[in-house]
Amino acid sequence: MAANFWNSTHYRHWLRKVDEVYKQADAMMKKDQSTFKEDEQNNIKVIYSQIISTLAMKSKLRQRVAATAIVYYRRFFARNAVRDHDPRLIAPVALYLAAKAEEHTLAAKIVVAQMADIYQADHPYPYSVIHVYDYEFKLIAALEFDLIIYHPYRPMIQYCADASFHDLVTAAWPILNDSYKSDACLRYPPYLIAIASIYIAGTLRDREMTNWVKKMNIDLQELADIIQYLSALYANPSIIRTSGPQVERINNKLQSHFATKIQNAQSGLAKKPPSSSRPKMSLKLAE
Amino acid sequence: MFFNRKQRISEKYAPVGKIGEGTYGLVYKARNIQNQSGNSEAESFVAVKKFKSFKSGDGISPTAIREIKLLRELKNPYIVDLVDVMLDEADKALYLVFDYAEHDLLEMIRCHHNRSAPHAMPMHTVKSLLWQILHGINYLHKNWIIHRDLKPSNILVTGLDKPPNERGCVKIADFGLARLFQSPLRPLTDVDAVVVTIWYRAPELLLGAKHYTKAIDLWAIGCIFAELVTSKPLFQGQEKERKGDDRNPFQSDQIDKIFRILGKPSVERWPGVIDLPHWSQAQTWQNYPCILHDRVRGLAKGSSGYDLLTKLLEYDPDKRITAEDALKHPFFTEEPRPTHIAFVDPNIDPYKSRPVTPLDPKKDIGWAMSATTSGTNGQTPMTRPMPQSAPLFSSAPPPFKRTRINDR
Repeated sequence: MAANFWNSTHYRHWLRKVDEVYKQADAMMKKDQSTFKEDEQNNIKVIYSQIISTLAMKSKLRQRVAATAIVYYRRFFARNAVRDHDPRLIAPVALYLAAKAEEHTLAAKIVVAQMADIYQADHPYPYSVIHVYDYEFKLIAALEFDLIIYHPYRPMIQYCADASFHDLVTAAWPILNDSYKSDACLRYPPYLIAIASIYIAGTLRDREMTNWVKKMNIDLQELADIIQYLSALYANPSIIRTSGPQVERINNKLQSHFATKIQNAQSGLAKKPPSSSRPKMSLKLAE
Repeated sequence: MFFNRKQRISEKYAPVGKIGEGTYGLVYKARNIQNQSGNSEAESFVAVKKFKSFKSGDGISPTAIREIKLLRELKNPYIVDLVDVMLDEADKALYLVFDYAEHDLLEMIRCHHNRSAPHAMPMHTVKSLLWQILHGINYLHKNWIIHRDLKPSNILVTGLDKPPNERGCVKIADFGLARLFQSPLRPLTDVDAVVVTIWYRAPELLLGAKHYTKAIDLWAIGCIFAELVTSKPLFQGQEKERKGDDRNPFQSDQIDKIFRILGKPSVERWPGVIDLPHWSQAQTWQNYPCILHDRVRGLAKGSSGYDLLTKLLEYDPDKRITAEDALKHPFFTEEPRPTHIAFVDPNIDPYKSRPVTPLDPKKDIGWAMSATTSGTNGQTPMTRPMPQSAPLFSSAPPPFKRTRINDR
């Protein structure tokens, strides 16, 4: 759908309404504060964005699929609180749905097995394929069925080609990867993130980038905001990894918060009434 | 807002009957409950497509995902309008709700075929339908989408239930095979081998092309154009069944049918053909003269309509006319001019209404059987109230066979 970004749901429903999206996201953060401190909330987002990338790599899915999944994940938690929905489940479900939307197939049992494989905590990974199927419905509904996501990779390559910045492609690429550790994908249009990544990549190599940027016919103030936003990721010295004690601490905390809900849900699944009596949701993590 | 999570499907739409069935699931006609309470005007209908899911595979069906993801982005007068998506978490079903269209080209063509006194579709109607189809496909192609499954039954046409200026209007439907073609993550043919019902399948696909283009949609439109003119399919090949590992066998009969009408292509005319896997086999076949003009008598040889048809049925996909260029063809600037309303008189719909099959309690579980419980405003539902647990041999009305127009 490259021809019409401005008509896309990505632009019309999400970027153009970014203030509304953020108002909701802030409300969710406040709702979570009693359970997860602000820095914990941030760590969870970064860790689970990373975990999505790791899962995608293990399943040999392209970066693009992981990027789409991360946008799904972040859109979901812009509208829902972590205390109500377990990121340990949403992350693999986001990848599962993104794989379908990007014309790949990824079996639910594979994504669960791989999640269990990389999961670090003092307990085993608590979810199964049943939970994945259940949450696929919740996720697609929370996304309002807007499944096509635009990414900055292609525009970045195009801009570099147009300006003969061939050496900057490989330098800008990891900056784009890192942008998915932030909410940049919720906040800014992909083509501006692409320009910002090229600007940063060039500047890091002591190149003069201002003239090029001025010729781009874009809002320079917004570009400056994005450059600052992306650069701030590097200013923070605590680079979060998908392994190590920090991850384990987060997972243990999530487990203690969600354990009873999972247990209740599983006992509910066990004595599921016959289908004729129209059961409600088999898994009730939501309320 | 597009979508209200709190509302159940039975609160918004009341099922009337079944209008289609396929491997993906079922399609129902339903009444829009909310519209009705809002105003006293004529009731409005929707088509509800229910996807099988969960039990049949791995979560939500990829076909449903594909259709939703594309239709959410598309907005064009000649593309079917996705008005709602409903989830039923209880029976893990997904419902796509479309604006209702009374006809499809298959039924309309039948109406002109097998009658005691066969009569062709008026040229104004043919031209208007073709023009609208090309408009819709041009829009898709501009958005990097190939439909891949164009055939008469996937092209809907609105009826008299719509306001006068929206009647007799094409709505291209069924995006279950449609594909974004900008840098596919995998070669397109990898994902599913079978593409496009064979009668409308382009020769490059039949000869085993792996990477195909928007040109396949234009070939299908050419076949549909001829079928509108003559009221019968142009190339009716026998489909070879898929056996074992060969998911995409060489459909030799279909290629033979094409060669017998258009003549065998030469390498001079279609240089790329030598690279196609099945060409080595097909090139040894007997040559035939082109007899297309004889098969499509409604378009005189030398007329602009015939010229456009040959440009759509061009063997070489690189030379085949694009949707954009087809719209500029002189055929559309000559009388009768194409119009937004394909019917000769906007107040007269010459075609029979879409057959609606009563609901069948064996198959139509879940929402579809809620007909009697939701607010139907005193309308008589087409089936008796039937608890889901009713024995299958009970006095349920027998599902009568979909009646063909030409049987009457």
